[in-house]
Amino acid sequence: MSPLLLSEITVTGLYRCLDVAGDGDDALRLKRLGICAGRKIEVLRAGDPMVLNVLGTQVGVSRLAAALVTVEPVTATTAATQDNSAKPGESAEGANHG
Amino acid sequence: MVDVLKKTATVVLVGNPNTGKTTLFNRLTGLRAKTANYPGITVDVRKGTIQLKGGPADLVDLPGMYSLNTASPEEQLAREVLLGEIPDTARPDAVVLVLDATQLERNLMLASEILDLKLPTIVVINLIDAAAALNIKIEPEKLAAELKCPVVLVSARKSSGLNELCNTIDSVLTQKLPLLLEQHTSCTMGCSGCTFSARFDWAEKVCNSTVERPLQTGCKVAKLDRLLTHPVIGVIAFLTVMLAVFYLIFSLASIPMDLVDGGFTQLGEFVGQLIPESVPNPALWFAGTASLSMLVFLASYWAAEIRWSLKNGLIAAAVSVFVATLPIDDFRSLLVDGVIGGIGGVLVFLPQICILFFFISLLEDTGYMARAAFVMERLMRFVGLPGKAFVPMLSAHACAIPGIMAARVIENWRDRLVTILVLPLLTCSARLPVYSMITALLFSDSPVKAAAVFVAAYVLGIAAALFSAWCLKKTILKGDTVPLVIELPAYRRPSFSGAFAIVVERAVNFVGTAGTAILLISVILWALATYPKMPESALPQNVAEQVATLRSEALLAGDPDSVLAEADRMVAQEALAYSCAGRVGRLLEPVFAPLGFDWKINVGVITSFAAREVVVSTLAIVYGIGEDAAEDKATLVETLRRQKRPDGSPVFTTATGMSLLVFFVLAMQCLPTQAVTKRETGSWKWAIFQLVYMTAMAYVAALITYQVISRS
Repeated sequence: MSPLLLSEITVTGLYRCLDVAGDGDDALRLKRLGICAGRKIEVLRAGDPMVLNVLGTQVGVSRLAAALVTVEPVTATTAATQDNSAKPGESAEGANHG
Repeated sequence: MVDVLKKTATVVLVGNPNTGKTTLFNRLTGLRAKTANYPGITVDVRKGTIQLKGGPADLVDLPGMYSLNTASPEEQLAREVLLGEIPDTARPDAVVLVLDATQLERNLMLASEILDLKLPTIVVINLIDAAAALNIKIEPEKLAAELKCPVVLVSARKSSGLNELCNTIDSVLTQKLPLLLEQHTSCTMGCSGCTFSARFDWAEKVCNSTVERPLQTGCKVAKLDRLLTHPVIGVIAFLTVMLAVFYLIFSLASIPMDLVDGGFTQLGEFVGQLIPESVPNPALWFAGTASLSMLVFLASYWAAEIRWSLKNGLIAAAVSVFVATLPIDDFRSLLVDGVIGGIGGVLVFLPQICILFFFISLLEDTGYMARAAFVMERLMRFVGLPGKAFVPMLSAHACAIPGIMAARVIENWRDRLVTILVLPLLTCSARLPVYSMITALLFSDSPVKAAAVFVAAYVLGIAAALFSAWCLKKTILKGDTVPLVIELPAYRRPSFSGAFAIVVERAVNFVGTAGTAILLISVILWALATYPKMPESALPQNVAEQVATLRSEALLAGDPDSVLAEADRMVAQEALAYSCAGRVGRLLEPVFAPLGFDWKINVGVITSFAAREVVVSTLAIVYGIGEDAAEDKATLVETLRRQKRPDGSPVFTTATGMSLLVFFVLAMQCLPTQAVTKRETGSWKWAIFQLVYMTAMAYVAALITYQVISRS
């Protein structure tokens, strides 16, 4: 899969962050919230500003900031190979929230 | 460190925003917190005391932070406290690190930074009840072993685990626990790339080995959330919420406002009657009034946190002696009109301010405010401000003061400053009496026109604020737009007691800073409008004759009181003209003449310098209908309409009225706001800048208005 900028994404879904450009304040503010190389990012709403799910929390990001972030889509196969640290609770998916 | 409990130990609370840190603080200190400042820093922190077995300790609630790599003045303060970079302040004796049980992986990023500091640290896992509801299971022993420091599970909201937390803090302070943290090695050791990546990897590893959690969490309100963050529906929803809040503010606040207003009027009358007509015993009188004045100084210094120094003590003593030697009539007037009237004028807006704070705090607690900032981002971007600036701007439509305080949510200092500087342009409730006087004066025959002008005044305020913000961002506060990166926290039930605590704290804060300043300025303005006293002989010939006639008629008239009151009003009118304020009004005539103001309106502009609504009662006095009649709009408007210039043309033409309206929409004319601006920006520089640019803009706009309308 070819890398692309987070700001160019129009399709919701799961992505993996490859890089956050620069070390200015804007990059810092992204990284502090978990938008940082290696993390998985779920795009919940595309557009400007966009809504992401990072580490279980929703984060609102404007296009200007999203342009700093390089991502690649996570497909079912790449997710299985790359995300080998499968969590113990994952099998319990759907068992919560009555 | 052994005698750490002999002096009071300092424990700091640290954590991400939205971790329930403040609720925990309130539980531990029992709502007896005080707002405190570190020397030279404008950011507020809350301080309280916790009772431990080894004795009391100071607990400081540091501002929420995402990382030691800071992005706001608040986070910077928290960082400096933790690193011991604050002058004359020791490093904290213990750190209580609050983590959100439902967001442990994210929160562990900050934990990894804090643990690297190797301060005595206790990790508190809060919101453990919420985590249990989401089937998240945390093993505290394993976590403690990983983090190499004590871990306590609490639910601040349900008050569970707090005793254990206090005991653990006590053990750490008295060094009963071995300092395992010495063995902690930073996860960024030997890491050359992005330290955040290393920390998040570590957080993920720790989380995987200590926490059992389902993969997906928190989708209960996902549908609602999709609507609230929708670009169009979200904005409509937000405006609806804020309109409802405003409706509540204005409807709920009217009762306490009337009570405050009536209470201070009655208090003034009561005190006025209490003071005898003549001094019974000069020595006793001197001692009594001097000590009363000293008492006022004592209270003001305490409220404004001014230290007693030789200079300040001498000022207080000198003023007190002077006050004690005032003639008794002047003393009565000073006490009733200057002091009591001045304090009442500030406190009357307190109910609105409190109710606004209460609702904003509740909305913030629920997690909704972050969504509001999110949806407003795109609209606010046009003027170069962040979406978060919208809530302060809406608040300022009730009163600029809570708006300026609410600007603290804006992380970027430059954006925050721009917002603070333009907020007083928005139409606050103190302007409404002025607007309604002028619209009644000009358009009493056409309610539609009156309403249109009212709306236009609001729009002018908003347009001026946005335009000024845009200009400031382009010129003196130039800087790149700070793009939005905001956590949208999970929705939570708000805490009413927490909101109440914030209201009390901010109200005390407001009365302390603004109250003292307005007391000072209202006494000064009182003096300007009273001195120099007009001797009977200085009364103009024709007025003196009229007054004498009225007084002699009073003896025969059926209603002598009203006739005498008429005479008194005429004297008061001349006395104001004779006073400093009157003279300055005449002096400023050439300055304000191009705006269509006569010297009497100038007097109104001067006396309303501290509080704009005062212009209504000043115009009532200066046009000779008496202060009490200002309440009765019909009389006031009738009298104003009859006013003639020396050449016989009416004073209040449409051009003059509109020019006065525009002037009051745009001019600063509010000292409490200036005091709060000074407090929030840390220097008088910005407060003065605000005064100068707003007054200049008001002058120019009023000038254009008058010249255009009077020529058309």
